[in-house]
Order: sequence, then C-alpha cells, then structure tokens
Amino acid sequence: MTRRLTPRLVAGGAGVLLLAAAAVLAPWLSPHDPLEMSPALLAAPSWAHPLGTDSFGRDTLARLLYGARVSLGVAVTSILVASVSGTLLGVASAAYRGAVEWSVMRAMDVILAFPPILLAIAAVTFLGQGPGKLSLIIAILYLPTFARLAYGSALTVAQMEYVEAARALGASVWHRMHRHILRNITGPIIVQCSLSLGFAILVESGLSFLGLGVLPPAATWGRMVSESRSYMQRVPMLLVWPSLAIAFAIGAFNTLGDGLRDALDPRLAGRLTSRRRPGSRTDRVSAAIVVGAFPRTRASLPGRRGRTCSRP
Amino acid sequence: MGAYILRRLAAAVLLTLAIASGVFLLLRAVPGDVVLVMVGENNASPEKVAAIRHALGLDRPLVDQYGQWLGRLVRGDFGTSLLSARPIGTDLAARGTRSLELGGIALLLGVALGIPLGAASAQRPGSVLDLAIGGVTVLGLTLPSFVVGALFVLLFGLVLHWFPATGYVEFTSDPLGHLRHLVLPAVTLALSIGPILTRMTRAAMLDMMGQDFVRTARAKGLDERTVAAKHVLRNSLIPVVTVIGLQAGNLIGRIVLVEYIFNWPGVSSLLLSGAYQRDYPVVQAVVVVVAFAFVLVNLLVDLTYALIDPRIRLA
Repeated sequence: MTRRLTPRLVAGGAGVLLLAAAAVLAPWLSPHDPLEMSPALLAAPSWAHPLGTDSFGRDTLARLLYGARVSLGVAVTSILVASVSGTLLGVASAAYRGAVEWSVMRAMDVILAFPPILLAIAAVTFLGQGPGKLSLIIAILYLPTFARLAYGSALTVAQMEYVEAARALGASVWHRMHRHILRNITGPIIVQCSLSLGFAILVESGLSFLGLGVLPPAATWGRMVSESRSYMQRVPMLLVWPSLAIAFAIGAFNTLGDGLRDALDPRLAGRLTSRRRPGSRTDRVSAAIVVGAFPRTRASLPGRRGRTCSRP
Repeated sequence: MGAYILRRLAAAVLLTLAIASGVFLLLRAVPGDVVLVMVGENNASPEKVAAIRHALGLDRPLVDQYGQWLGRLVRGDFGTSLLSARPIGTDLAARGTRSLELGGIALLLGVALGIPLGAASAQRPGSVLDLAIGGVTVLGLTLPSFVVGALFVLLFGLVLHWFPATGYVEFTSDPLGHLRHLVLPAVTLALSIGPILTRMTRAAMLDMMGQDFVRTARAKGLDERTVAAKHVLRNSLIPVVTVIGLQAGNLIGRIVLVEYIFNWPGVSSLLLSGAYQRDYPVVQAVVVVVAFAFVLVNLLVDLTYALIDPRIRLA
C-alpha cells in the first residue's frame, strides 16, 4: 500500500500538532496564570497582555492556551473511550452475530435516536458537570459511530477467505478477531477518530458556551465566547479569538481526517471521478463520507461490500 | 412497498418506546438522592422532600412509575414543572411552534441556498466559481453555529444595526418586526445546513456526470441545460434528500444553541432553564418530545427515499 503525504494530510497534521503543543506547553508558553485577575480590565493588547484581557482582567492569551488543554483533553479522552469500546462492541457483534449483534446494534440505534446536543444537555442535567463526566457523555454520543463502523468493516473482513481459512485451521473466535479482523479495520477507524475529535470539540465548546460544560472559572473556549458577548461591542476581539481557536481546531481535525482517508483508503481518494451505479449503497456511503461533516449519519454505516480494508 | 413501510413504522414505534424508557431511566441516573439534589441539602425540610418525592412519583414502586410515565406520555400529559407549577405540555406547545417556525424557515433557506450553489459548483469543477463556493463551504463547515450566531449579533445587530440583535416579537402584534427578528437566527441556522448540501450536491452531480445515461442524453443532442437539470441534477438529488433529512435532525440540536444566542423563546429556553435549575420533569418532557420529532423526521426521510428511488423499497 502506498502512503501519500497529501497537502491535506500535512496541513491537518501540522494544525493538530500545533494545538497539541499549545495544550501541553500552556504553562510555559502562557505569560500569566489563566485565573489571575489583573487590575487592567478589558485591556487592549500590550507587552504584558499580548491579546489583551477580559472583563475580570484575566489574560486572553493564557485563557486561550489553557482552553486548548480543556478542549483537547475532553475530546481526546472521549474519543479514545468511544473508539476503543465502540470498536470492541462492533467487532464482537460481527464475530458472534445472533443475540450479541442484535442487542449491541439496537442499543446503538437508541443512542442515535437522540439529537447529540440534546442528549448531552440531558445527560449533564442528570449526571452533573465536570471534565470526567463530560468526556464520558461525549464518549457515549460517539459510541454508535465507531460500533457501526467497526461492525460493518468487520463483517466485510470476516467473509474474506483468509479468515475462513483461519477458522478451518481451528483458530478461536478471539484469535480471529484480534489477529485477522481487528488489524484489518484500523484504517477507517483512525480516520473516523480524527473526524470525531473535531466534533467532540464542537460539542464540548457548545456545552461550555451554554454554561453546561466544564465548571467555571476554568478557561474553556466555549465559555470565552459566551462571556465575551456582554462586552463584544466594546472589545470585539474577545469574541474573535476563541471563535478562531474553535474553528481552527475543528478545521485541523477535519483536514487531518480527510488527509488520512486519502492516504489510507486509496479507493475513496478518487471518489469524485470514479464511476459507480447511481444511488447504490456504496455510492451513498462514499457520498456521506465526502460530506465528512457529520460522522453520526446513518448513511456512514458501510454496507457489507461498501468498504475495503486498507491493509492486506 | 407496503412491507417496507410496515417495517419502518414498526422500527419507529420500537425506537419511540426505547426513547421513552431511556428518558424515564435518566431520573434514576442522578447520583445520590434526586430530591435532595433538586432542593439542595440545606433547605430540605422533610415535608418539602416528601411533597416533591410524591410529585415525581418516586414514592411508588418502579414498575408503577414506569407504567404511569408511559400512560401519561400516550395521553400527551407531560406533567407539571416543579418550579413554575405549570403544566409542561402547554409551555411546550407554545414554544414548540416558535422553534418549528425558526427551524422550518432555516431548513428551507439552507436547501434554497445549498443545492443551487452545489449545482453551480459542479458545472465547472476547478473554476474560480467552484473554488470560491468551495472556500465558503469549508468556512461554513468549520465555524460552529454558535460562533456564527455570536458574530452575526455583533456585526449585523450591534455594529451595522441592520436587524435587531436579539429578541422576539409576536407575529400578531407586529408582523414586520417578527420577520426582522427572524432573519439573523434563521440565516445562522441555514448556514449550518447549506454548506453540507452544497458539498453533497456537487459530489453527487460530479459522480452522475460520468454515467452512461448522461452521455446518451448528450449524444441524442440535448443541450447542456437540459442535461444538467433533467438528467444530472434530478438523479443527484437522491443522496441529497437523505442528507436533508439527517440535517433536519442535526438542526434540532443546533437550534438549541442558536435560540439561546438570539433569545428566541423556543423549546430550548424551556430545556435550558430546566437544566440550570434542575427542573427534571421539564428536561425529561423536552427530551422525549424532541427525540420523538427526530424519529418522525427520520421515518419521513426513509419513506420519501423509497418514493424517490424504487430500488430502496425492493431491497
């Protein structure tokens, strides 16, 4: 398989690295503590406060950098939990079929039956706030995406002759799952991880914006947008900086996801010029992937023949 | 066709039941004693606690509570708010209409904006127009709607004064004022749907242009306009319809944020005030009703889909 360093892969990867560096190095990069209140309220940019201060006199640059920690921390934790458990559920459903398959997939249908933000608001109301709970809630939101993706891909792989051969040789279900199935479906799952990370950041910042995310006074981008609204006529940049940060983060993860997809799944790379039966299952799947924007779509469930595995 | 509709209907009914059960269980997921969490540990007199426990039905066996919950939902009785002591159903109906108005107009606007732009973009891939539309699309996809909304309030409301920044006026008292208040939130929401449809239409049309029947249409001497409109676009709309349906669902989620920004007194104000003040019955009612609406939208999409594309119902 050829791995191509497309411009999108490089740009997305660089963006994500930049975000990660900001999050990890926040204590060293930031000129102030994000909670430190200086007497200069709503100050204009200066040497002491490169991006100015907010209505409490807190340094905007420091809050942006620390906000990256919250957003990335919650997003990475939740998608890690969602991808690992979703993949296991999906592969187990494909391996055991029958009752396991039915109950797992129906449970995923129920989660998908709720609009994501609504489910998150309800869960926060009943479970309470905090980064840990928030990560768990977002993980549950994205569990079906990974379970369905893994299930669809695993079904395709499970029908391959080499898996059949392994079974004929007496390999156990676990051996086949681990050795033959799991390893062959990692490509699409990695792509989905990157795309879902962008959306996890969207959900996290949306909830923080509504005051239902990580508790104050911790710096989060969503809350910065929300807090800036009272002062945006006087200091519009207070609104612009966190908005840019959110858009940059989502854009970076989406671009990286698109780039990874081009690199890992060459069949989809030429999707706009390829010829397929109009309206066929694969067509709708690839069209939904082209949209890329909403991984929670039902159409992103790959049909049995819809997806190739990226590694032999 | 009949069997397909029946299958979809049965699935929707089962899903509705599962949603109702899930929301019922939410109240049991509250860590600790629900009633104490609601009234606060300090000002909880035993009488007050007992009264709330009774109002929530928590003093009865779980099976009874579940039966009562389902029975009341079937009758359209959503209980009463613990804070305002008003029936939730009445509030929900009044605010639901406002949310439906905003969401419906935003969806129409998004479709009216997204599909023509996608079609125009697909006419000459790689042209300046295509690149420009592509750039705007990417911007629309990456900017969350609450950020777009906040920027709109600032730019069009507070700086340019083109439209009222936030708020709501009843249509009956001031029709023009009502519409002026509607513009910014509706456009904000439409911008979250439009770009996806643009991308989808473009991709689907480009896919379709290489098909044999398009070449046949050209070969028999049809002009480009007819080929594009009658053969390419119509066939491309099949996947686009699905995406419109899915976006209608996602719209329900985004509408919460947009209503909050523009102080549009729709369902989300009910949901959020319930969430902030731990008014659990209100949150449960809103979640159930909205999730039902979501299931209904998905059902309609599936059925429309079968109408448009005979291959689906035969499959």
